[in-house]
Amino acid sequence: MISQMQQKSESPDTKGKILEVRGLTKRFGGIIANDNIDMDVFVGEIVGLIGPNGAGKSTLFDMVAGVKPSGSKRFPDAGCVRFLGHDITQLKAHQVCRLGLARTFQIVRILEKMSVLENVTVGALCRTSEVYEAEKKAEKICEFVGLKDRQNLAAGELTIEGKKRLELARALATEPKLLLLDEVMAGLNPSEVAETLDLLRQINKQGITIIIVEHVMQAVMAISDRIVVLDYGKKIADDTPEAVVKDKNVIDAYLGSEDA
Amino acid sequence: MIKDVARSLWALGWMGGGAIAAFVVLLLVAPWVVSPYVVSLFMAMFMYIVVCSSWNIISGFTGYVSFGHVVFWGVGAYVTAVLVWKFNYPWPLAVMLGGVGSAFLATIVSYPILKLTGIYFAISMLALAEAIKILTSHFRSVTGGGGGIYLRPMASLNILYLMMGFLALAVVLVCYSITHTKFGRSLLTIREDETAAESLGINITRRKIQALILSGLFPGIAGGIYVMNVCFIDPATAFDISITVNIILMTTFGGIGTIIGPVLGPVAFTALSEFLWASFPFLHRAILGAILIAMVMGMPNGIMPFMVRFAQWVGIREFFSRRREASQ
Ligand SMILES: Nc1ncnc2c1ncn2[C@@H]1O[C@H](COP(=O)(O)OP(=O)(O)OP(=O)(O)O)[C@@H](O)[C@H]1O
Ligand SMILES: [Mg+2]
Repeated sequence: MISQMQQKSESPDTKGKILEVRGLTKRFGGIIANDNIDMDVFVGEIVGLIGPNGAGKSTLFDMVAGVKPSGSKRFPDAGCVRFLGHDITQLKAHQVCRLGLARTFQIVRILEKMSVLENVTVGALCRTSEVYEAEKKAEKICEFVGLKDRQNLAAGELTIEGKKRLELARALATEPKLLLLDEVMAGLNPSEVAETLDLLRQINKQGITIIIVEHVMQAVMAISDRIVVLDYGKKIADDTPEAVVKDKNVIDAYLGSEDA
Repeated sequence: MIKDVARSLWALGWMGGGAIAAFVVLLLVAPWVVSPYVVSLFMAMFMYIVVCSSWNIISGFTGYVSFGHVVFWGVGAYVTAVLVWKFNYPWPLAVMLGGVGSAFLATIVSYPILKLTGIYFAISMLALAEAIKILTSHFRSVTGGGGGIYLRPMASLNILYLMMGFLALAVVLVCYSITHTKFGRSLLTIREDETAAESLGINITRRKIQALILSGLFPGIAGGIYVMNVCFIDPATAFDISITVNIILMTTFGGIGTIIGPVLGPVAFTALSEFLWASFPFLHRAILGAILIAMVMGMPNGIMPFMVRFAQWVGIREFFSRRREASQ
């Protein structure tokens, strides 16, 4: 397999690289959701991943994080993903999480019947076997993301803003080195977006690399060091925010041109 | 894990500890006070507490509703009976090995069967129970075939009753402690969302297998104790679907996914059916059925939510259940 060959040929020069995606392809029946995508992410970066609806952003996250899309198999049809030098293409989500790669879900998957604190505790249990310790850590994280005053509510009672925050908190509790955020700002008002951006910058300062999928353009542009653009499953741009907004392919893609 | 268990037991406090002590005292005193009939009745009740609490681990905590849990009880009964009958094992050892046998069955079926979810899991557990029943009838030389196995009485009713009582106590405490450990939290997470669970680092396959094994272990021991008491077992009794139905009814009645629910269910059922049987000898089953339907319609989540609300009102919620989802 391609992935195995690449694993052997290029391990030493992956030093500053935290994530390396090569030739990733994923089909759903006739649809090619990810079409031969190459992408590198370096330690400490914040990378924005954008593209029109259905471009394949969430699918890319699923493939990287080992999540099985519904009605399909977990593995990509071709290509490989390397994280911190490990080939994780064939790993399951829980193994990927243990290696230090956490994600949030676009359609939130909080544990509605548990309390907010219990939700975060589940994340923290990734790194300890003692519930008591995990709970203490979860309390700190709830405070950090601004959920402290709501931590004893049933998670299902939170507003969408609260649920998005909770997804972020729970992912953080697993102590990731790389965080994949899928539209954590969707449905937030401008002041909540500003708050979240601030939070993400703090997280990044702690040494956590971030890839962020977002439709709120100003927000991604403001926070990202680099932007990767997908369209119809293909990568069409990979550059600084300033360069990407001027890119002809990107403009065409967003204006809906067919020959992008 | 050990620390969490110790902490959870410590958290039982004076009230929990007192309740346990009171139970043990009543358990020990009862045979001197009540008739052997009542002792057998208690024993049957404890047996259902054991099987309901065990069923609740895989079906209540983990969310995989099993329609064939009688199979673990029946296999335990058969393993015990065969070891005593064919191999002259000392009966207490045979009873323990009954639990090993049912846990072993759970282990070998767990991987394929837990790939299924929802109704498919439920049905395949049902099919498993039927399949084992047929196999048991078929292998006459080992199992005595359809005619069953008769044992000579070896253990006194009081001894077996005490064993069942202590087993029930142990199982309830295990279930209680589980919910305070990483293992238990993993099961509750799996019940709510398997994809989320996996993405948070939970090895869901391994956890579900562990849950099914634990869930199969205790009913096997209960089956062994049962068979030593009645001294007879045949496939129709050992794999009787009505036992599974009782387990599901009682636990639903008490409150699925709670700790006290699988205790309240059997207690309430035993009391109710005894009362009805004594008062309406001919109609008791019909009346029990009618009450059940009314209960399910009026309290679809079992009596637990009512108990919790009541307890909250009295201010002793902690004593009944520390878990919020218990009431939902
Ligand atoms: N589980 C699935 N089964 C079948 N098709 C799927 C599945 N998931 C996604 N798709 C299809 O794959 C394509 C890419 O979807 P994806 O969700 O990755 O896009 P996206 O960039 O995240 O879009 P959005 O911005 O709307 O979230 C779409 O055409 C979508 O319909
Ligand atoms: Mg998406």
